[in-house]
Amino acid sequence: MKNITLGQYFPGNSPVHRLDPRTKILLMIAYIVVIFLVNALILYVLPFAFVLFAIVLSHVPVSYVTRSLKPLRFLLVFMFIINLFFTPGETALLSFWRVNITSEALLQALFISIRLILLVGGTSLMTLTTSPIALTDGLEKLLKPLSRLRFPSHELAMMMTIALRFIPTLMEEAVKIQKAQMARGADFESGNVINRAKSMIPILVPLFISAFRRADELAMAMESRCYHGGEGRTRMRELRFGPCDAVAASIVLLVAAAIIALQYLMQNGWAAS
Amino acid sequence: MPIILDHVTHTYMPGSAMAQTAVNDISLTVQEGEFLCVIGPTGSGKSTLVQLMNGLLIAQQGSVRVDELDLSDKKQRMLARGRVGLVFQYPEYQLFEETVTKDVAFGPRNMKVPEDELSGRVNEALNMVGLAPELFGEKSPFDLSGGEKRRAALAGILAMRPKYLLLDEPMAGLDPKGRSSIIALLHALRDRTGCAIVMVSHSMDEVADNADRVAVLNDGGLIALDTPGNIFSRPEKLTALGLDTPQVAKLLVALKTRGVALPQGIYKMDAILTALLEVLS
Repeated sequence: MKNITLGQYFPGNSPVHRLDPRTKILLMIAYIVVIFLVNALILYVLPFAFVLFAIVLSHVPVSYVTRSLKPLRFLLVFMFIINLFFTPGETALLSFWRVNITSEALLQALFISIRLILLVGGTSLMTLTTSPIALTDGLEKLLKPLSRLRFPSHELAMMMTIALRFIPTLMEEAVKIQKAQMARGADFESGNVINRAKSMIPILVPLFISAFRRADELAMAMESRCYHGGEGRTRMRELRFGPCDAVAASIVLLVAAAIIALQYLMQNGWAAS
Repeated sequence: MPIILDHVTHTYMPGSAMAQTAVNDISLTVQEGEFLCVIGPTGSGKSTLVQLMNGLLIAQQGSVRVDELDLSDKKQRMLARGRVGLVFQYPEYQLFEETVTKDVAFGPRNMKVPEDELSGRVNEALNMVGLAPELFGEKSPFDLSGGEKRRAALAGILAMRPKYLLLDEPMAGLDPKGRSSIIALLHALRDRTGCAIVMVSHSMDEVADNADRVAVLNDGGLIALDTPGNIFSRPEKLTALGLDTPQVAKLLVALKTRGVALPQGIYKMDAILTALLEVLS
C-alpha cells in the first residue's frame, strides 16, 4: 500500500518540464499516431532516439522510465508469445511437433512489443515531467472548445484535480482504519478469496463514509469561498505557449515527417526516385 | 506479567530516502494494573509506541513481549491483540456494522469468543460506557451523536476484555463533559477489572490528575519515566520540549515567586488546597 506513487511526477526544471502541458498532450498524441503508422522495423530507430533524447533533456533518471515498464512485463511476454505462435504466415523459420513459427509471426510479435514499449515509455515520460495539476489544466484548456457543445470541460478538470488530491488522503485513511480493525482482531491476511473479500467490509464501509464526509466538507468549503463553476474564473497560473513549445513541436513534426517520408520511399522502392 | 519493551527501535520506510526513525531504542515496562500516561510533542513517537505494544507495528530492533508472548511471532501476536486493546484517535471512524450491538461484537467474535457468551459481553461493555443496551443496541451506529459514537467504539474494545488498554488521545475533539466522562469510565474500568491503562494525552491536567507514572518522549527517545509528582515538579524541562504544564504546576510556580513555598512533589489540586490551607492557618 505504501509504495504506490500516483501521478509519478518527478519534479524538475528542465526544458521538458517547462513545456506547456497542452503542447505535451498534443505532441503525445502525434507521437502515438506515428508509432502506429510505422510498419518497418528499422524505422523504429527514430521514435526510440526521440524518446531517449527527451529523457536526457528532462534529467529524469532512465530508471524511472523503465520502472514504469515493469508492471507491463507479463503482458509483453504474453503478447509476444501469442503473436509468435498464432500469426499465420508462409515462410517457416522453425517447426517442431505441431508448432510452426514463421518469419511473419516473428515480425508481428516484434512490432507489437516495440510499439507497446515505446507507447508506455513515451507517455510515462510525459506524466513524469508534468505535475497532475498542470496536466488537468492543460486538458481543460484543450477541451474548452467543446464547452460550446455543452461538454463540461471545467467540471471534468476540477473533478480530476480533486480526485488526484484526495487519493493520498484516502490511502492514509484506509491504512488507519485497517489498523484499527486489526487491533480488534480482524485478520486480513489468511483465509480463502471469499473470506478475504468479506474481511474488507470493515475497512470499506468506514472508508466510504469518510469519503462522503470529506466530499461534503470540501463542497461546503468551496462554496463558502464563492466557487460557482468555471464561468468567469481566472487562474493563478495562466498557460502560455513559449519558444520552447515551438521548438518541441518542430522537432516532433520533423521526426514524424521524416518517418512518413522514409516509409513512403521504402514502400515504393528506392529505385523509383 | 507485564508488557516489556526491550531496546525497541522502529523506522518507517527503512532504506529509502524518506526513512524516519519514530521510536529509537526505548526500553519500558507497563506494569499490570497501572495507569501510565505518555506525553511528548507532536512527532515524538507516541502513536508508534502504542502501536508497537500490540503488534500493529513490529519492532525492527529489540523485542516486545506481552505476558511472555513474543510479538514478532504471528500466532503469538494474534493472541496478544486480544489482551492488549488499542483505541485509536477518533475511534468512531472505525464503526461499520448495521447495529451498535453487532459492531461491539466484532472484536470478541474475531477473538473466537463463543456465541452464547457474546451478548453478555456486549451488554456489559455497553453498560460500562453508559449506553444502555436496550436503548442503543439496535440503533445504527451512524445515528448516534459524536460523543455516543466515541463511547460505542470504546465499547467495541472493552468487549474484548483487554488486560491492557492503550488509548491514543481518547479525548481529542470532545467537550469538557465528554472528556471527564471518559476519564471516569477509565477509572471505573480499572477498579472493576484491574486492567492497566496506557494513555497518550496532550492535556497535562488530565495526566497530572490520573497517571501513576508518566513517560516523556521526545524525538523517538524516552527521556523520562517517573511519577507525575517528579515530572511536573520541574516544569521548565517540559516547557523546553514545547509541552504545556498542568495548571497546578503553574499555580505552584506562581505561589513560589510570591513567596509562598509549598512542599515539593504536590501536583493534585486537592493536595495543594490542603497544603495551602495549612500554610495560611
